[in-house]
Amino acid sequence: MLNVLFAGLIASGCIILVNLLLTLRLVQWLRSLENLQKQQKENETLPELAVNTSAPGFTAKTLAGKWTRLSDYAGRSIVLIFVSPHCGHCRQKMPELITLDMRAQEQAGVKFVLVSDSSATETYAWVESIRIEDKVEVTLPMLIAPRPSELLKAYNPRGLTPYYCFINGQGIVQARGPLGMGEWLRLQREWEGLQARSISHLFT
Amino acid sequence: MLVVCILAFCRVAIALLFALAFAGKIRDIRAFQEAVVDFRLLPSNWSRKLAVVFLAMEFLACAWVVSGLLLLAGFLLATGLLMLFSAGLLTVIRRRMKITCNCFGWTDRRVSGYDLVRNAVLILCSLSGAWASVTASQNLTMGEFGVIALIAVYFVVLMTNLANIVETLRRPFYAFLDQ
Repeated sequence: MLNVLFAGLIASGCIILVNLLLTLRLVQWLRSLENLQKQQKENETLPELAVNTSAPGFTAKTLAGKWTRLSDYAGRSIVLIFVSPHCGHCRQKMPELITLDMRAQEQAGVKFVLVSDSSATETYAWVESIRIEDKVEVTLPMLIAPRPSELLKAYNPRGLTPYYCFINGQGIVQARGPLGMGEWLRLQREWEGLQARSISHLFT
Repeated sequence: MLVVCILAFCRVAIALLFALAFAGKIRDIRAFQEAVVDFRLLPSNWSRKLAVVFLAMEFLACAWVVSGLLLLAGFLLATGLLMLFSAGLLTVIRRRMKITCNCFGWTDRRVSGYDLVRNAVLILCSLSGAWASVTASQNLTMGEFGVIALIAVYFVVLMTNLANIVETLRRPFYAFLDQ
């Protein structure tokens, strides 16, 4: 009789436990959404990263699962390009960025590094869809910084993807802003111009 | 009888807690190592090695408490680890650092006073287990153990989600749901 009572207690307890776990999962999800919204509002009011200051250090995983730090690029100029799988313009710009990366790397030793604001799974699906549907192989390294990550907070692209941050070999921020505007256009011309100069040099 | 019940409760609670912590961290050991580095208490390479030592200790504490072979040692190791973690968390709160705990695997929730309260309750539980392990002599029936184990599972679920539960009771999602 007592065993039946214990069995009943355990069974009903298990049912309540499952409900409790599901409720807590829902609470966690709502709380993280709320944090995300709060973070976005905070970022909108925060100023952009200051030019000619040290770039904030970061640690992020690549799409291949390898941990990367800013110090891994020490002595080398890099351009962090903040992208999002939810941003159509980022997808449109991808072929142009891959070509420009090759030019900038060959001529000025500048390496492009993409930073995704979504999870590795979502980013991987996005990269695959670009490969299959657009026939574009994303060869640039991709860092995963799902919102609200410290990397996104430190570099504050303010949701304006694609957004770039040009860091020189000494780790100093040289320029930043939305891609395709202002200083980016000058840099783009410079990298493309450098290539034109080097080609003309070959013929003279 | 009460001492035996306390011992069973503490064994299940502490073993489950350390099993959860170990499983959450081992899934992404690099993230845990970076979380320990973020505490900025030791040089980076030391912190990474210490993270592995913590993991091994958590596993040992869980194994000793589950097996019952080194019950007292298991509870004391668990108490020591919880005290050490609490001291680390306290320094983070005092330095007003905004970092995540990653106590049970990756999370975006920052270290807060709730983590200290949770650890204080767990230390009390672990110490009670250590005391009960040297005084308890009887055995429980399967049914009795099942009920106590279930209560211990509830306790662990509530303790590991303490911050979310209290925050939800204090500040529901009205602002969020309005939008």
